[in-house]
Amino acid sequence: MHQTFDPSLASDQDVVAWARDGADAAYRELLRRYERPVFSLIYRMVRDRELAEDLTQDTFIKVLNALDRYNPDYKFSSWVFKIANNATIDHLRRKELKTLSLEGAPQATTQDRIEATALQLSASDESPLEELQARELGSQIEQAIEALRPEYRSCIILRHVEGRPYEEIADILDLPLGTVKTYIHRARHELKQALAPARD
Amino acid sequence: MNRNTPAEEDPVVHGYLTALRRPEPRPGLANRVLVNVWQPKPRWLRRFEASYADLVESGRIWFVLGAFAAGSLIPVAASVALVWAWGNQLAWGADRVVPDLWAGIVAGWQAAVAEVSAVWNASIPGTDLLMTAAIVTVVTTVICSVGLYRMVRIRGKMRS
Repeated sequence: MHQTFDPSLASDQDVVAWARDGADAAYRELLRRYERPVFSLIYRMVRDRELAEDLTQDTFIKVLNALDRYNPDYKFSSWVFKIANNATIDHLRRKELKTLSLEGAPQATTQDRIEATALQLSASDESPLEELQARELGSQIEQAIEALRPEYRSCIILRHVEGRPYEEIADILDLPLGTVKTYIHRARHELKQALAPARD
Repeated sequence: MNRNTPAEEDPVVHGYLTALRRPEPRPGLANRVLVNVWQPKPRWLRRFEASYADLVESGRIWFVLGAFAAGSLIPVAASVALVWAWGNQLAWGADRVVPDLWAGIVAGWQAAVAEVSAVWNASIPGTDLLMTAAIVTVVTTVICSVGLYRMVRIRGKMRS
């Protein structure tokens, strides 16, 4: 029986099965679902837009070329984030990144990059002073995230930005559940300490 | 087990992290990725290729071609033979029994032949439809014969 298939309504597993049958639309649907979360995770880890684009691209090339090896018993999102995280951690271990600030960082030379590192705090009716303060706070948050150990960074971003449960984070990072909870606890503590002056 | 949301667990840190604008990749990421991704062929195409490869490998492709040619030729040959042998009688009988239907069939047949001939002559000028049909008939008969011969030969080898 021929069934019409709406990829936007299907589960990840169904879309993967469809992609394994060679459907181009299924590949595009997987990319559509995960390109933003994966890019966001990688970008928050490396804080360099072009590098994040390259790593995101590499991640998806690995993921989509290895679809036959994906085990549908596990969450597809965990598998994708695991590959993205491994690629990013590998990169960070190989290369020490330069500090990137919001306004005057070495890499933030274009409007595109400045916007990518901006806060979404600012509303349209904000005064220039409030906008400047928001920018400064955003810069401090970025710096505080960057000061975290990469493992803490992955955990805290997956938990608070991506909203992943602890069990999935443990699965993604190949860490025991207790370790993940400890990392997140410590990351929160370090972030609060680093941002305490900003709160005052 | 702790089922609090991240915001409930630590609203301060959650506020900081969600305040940051969520970055987006440049448009066209999907195209840049898919250029580097090997995509399997559609299932129906893989099945067709596998069946075709099996046919070629086993030598049955000749048999299939022969059977297809024979299958196409037999109805045509039977119709021609029927008309050649009893055409006048058939026409006479049909004209008596179902005159309207027979008149419609004759008219439709003549119109179809005229249309096919016209299209054929317009598409491939300088060739004759009947002559081409004869050549195609001979060629398909030869393919059919070769296919059946090879099939019989392969079967014979397999038995011995």
